[in-house]
Amino acid sequence: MSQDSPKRWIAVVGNPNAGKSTLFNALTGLRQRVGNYPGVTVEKHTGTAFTLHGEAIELIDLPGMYSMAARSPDEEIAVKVLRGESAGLPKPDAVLCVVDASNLERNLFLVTQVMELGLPVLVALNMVDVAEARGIRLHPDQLSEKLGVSFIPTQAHRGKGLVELRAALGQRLLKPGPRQWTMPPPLAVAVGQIASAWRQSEPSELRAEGKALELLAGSNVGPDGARKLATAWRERFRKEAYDWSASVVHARYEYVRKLLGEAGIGSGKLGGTWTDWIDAVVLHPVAGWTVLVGMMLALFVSIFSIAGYPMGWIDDAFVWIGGVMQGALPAGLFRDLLIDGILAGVGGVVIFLPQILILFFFLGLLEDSGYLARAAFLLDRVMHRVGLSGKSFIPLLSSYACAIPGIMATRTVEDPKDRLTTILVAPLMSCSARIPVYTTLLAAAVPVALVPVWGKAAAMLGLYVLGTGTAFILAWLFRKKLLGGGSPPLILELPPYRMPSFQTVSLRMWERAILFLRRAGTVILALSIVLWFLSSFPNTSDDPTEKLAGSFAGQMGHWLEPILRPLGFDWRIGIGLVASLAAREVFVSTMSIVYHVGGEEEGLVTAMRSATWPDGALIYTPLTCLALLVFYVYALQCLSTVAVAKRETGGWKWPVFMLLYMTGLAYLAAWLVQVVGRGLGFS
Amino acid sequence: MSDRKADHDFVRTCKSVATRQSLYVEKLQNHPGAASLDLTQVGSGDEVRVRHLACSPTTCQRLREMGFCENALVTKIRGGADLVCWVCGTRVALSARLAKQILVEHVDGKS
Repeated sequence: MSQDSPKRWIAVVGNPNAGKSTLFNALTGLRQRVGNYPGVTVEKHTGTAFTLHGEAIELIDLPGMYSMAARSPDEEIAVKVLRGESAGLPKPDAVLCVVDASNLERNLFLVTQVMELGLPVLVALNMVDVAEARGIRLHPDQLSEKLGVSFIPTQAHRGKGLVELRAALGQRLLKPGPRQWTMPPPLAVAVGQIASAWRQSEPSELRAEGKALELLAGSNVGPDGARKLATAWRERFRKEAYDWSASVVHARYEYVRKLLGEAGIGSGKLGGTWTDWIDAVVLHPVAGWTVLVGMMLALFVSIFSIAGYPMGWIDDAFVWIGGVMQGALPAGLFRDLLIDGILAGVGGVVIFLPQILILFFFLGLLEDSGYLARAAFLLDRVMHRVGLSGKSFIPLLSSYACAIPGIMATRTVEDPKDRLTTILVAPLMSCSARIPVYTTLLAAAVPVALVPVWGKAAAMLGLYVLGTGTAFILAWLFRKKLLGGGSPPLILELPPYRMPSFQTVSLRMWERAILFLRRAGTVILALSIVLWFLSSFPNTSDDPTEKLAGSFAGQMGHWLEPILRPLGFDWRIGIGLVASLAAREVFVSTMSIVYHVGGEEEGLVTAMRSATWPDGALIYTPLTCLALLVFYVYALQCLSTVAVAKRETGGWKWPVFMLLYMTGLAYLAAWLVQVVGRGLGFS
Repeated sequence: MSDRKADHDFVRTCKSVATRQSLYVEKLQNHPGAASLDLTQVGSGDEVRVRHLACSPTTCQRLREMGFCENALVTKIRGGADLVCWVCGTRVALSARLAKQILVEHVDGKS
């Protein structure tokens, strides 16, 4: 290929969890997210790879799919790209099918469909090590000969077979030959007639048969004559009660089984593997739940115990920086901005980085080991009762990290009502941005020394359970009363367990750390400067408390106080609530600025514990802290979540509904905490 | 062959296939033997052959694409409220209400 030729675009397709993104990363050097559960990739990604001869090719990594008949939004993305109907991307010049060598029967079913697209096809026979460990003897040459496309054995996670794959990608890829599976008799007549009508209108069309099948399946793209014939045949099949699509699936599978039989490839042995032994425990109705709750508790204990050390170091570092600034800079507005604005705002949030990294370490282990699909299986009964399927649990669990990828992960949910319900309740799952708020308020509610680590972990677990439980109740309400329809049945692939990759887990933590620090250096920094300005001007007094009360922020807080007073919140908390509308963790940075505590966590907690109402009563009583915690469990304080919900639901109706119901619920629940708490004699 | 005859042959084939399908379902529903089992009634560890799917067309199609097509061999790994099966070399979890709609027979003919 000459240097002047346009780049070739090659689509990477395959069944979910076949290792497409791992292979894509290995070929392009990019770092797309990978994991050991179906549905990790829900969006198309492009990257440049090089053949052995140095030719640059553009690879398109696509979400996994079981067939060309898309049933969920992520599958639709893949099918549109393959058909050249995706905005912003050209029609691929070739297809790289990634197949799981340990599961060839089902993976080759998709390959037979892709081969009918009329594009050159290359097959990466991935995970050959897993197949061989299961006693499957692979014969790539025989498969290539019988199917008419090249099969290259690979182990993408170990980087094996990549040289051969790059060499094959550099060669002129062959278009597959004519269809080899036998079409059932009634269907063959229909397809023959539709294909013939297509060729009459477009004689150059080489894959009229494949397009005839697409027309029968409901596609509207094609010449008028062919489309009318397809509609007539569909109607006729319906009247004759002939399930033509079932017969096609059956015929393809018959062909694949025959092909594998002739090539001497079996399906491997079942039983006696690590996966079977682990599943015997983690899928057990009692032991499975014990393991799940135990893991969650271990996560929260780690968040408070292990994270305490690095948090202390960060705290010390900010105290030291504040001290240096205090000594080096002359008193004045600039020093105030640096210490009371930037250091307090940014430092107050950065200190929580270790806790967030621990959360992502645990989530990474769950995702990469293969446990996540088991958790979905375990929770299917609960999910079914609230009108969802276990499949919705994976997006909900992803929302513990952040609601944005969680909402995007709902693309794997096939039923539209199921998907919408999952989107609506996903922000109720406590995300990593809530950790700084929860930790600060828990410390303010009860003196740290009085509570052992497990007690704080249990309190944190309680907040997560509160959010999750409410999400389930509201899912039931939305599904039964608002959207209607029953819960879809669970069909979920359970991948074999594997040892979590240190590289994958640490990469996920690294990416999250960078994202968190970038956010601290941009959004939180900007908001801290704005808030410092709003809380410093107009300068009406030398007394810090009176100065804040008379500032712009103080005036806004006082204006809000009558609305917040029933919840036990004063005007300073009001400033924090408004500032954290953009992002929840801004509450902590705002309170650090409001109480002039620099970047110290301990300083903020002490300031909050000694803050009083004008009559001298403490503001942050355990009851008020609980009300504030409950408020943050429920409130949708995240503009990015609103934006992604708008994109995923296709309009403003549902994001606005989400914002209103969550804010209303937060207010009502915090008020109830105060009323019930006071009724029981707490203050 | 005239168009009329081809048309006649086609309708006959369709009807024959459809009749076979409906007769089979009837047999599955009425026959007290092995073929009247659904997947929930099979013991863990048993290997069975899928005979008929009695769910909605969309669900049926997804089941078939994942390997649960008619004549496919399935091994039930775990029973209970939800099931885990081994099909086409992978473990697939199914809810019990879906498994009830998958009619099967033992491959060795035992009931």
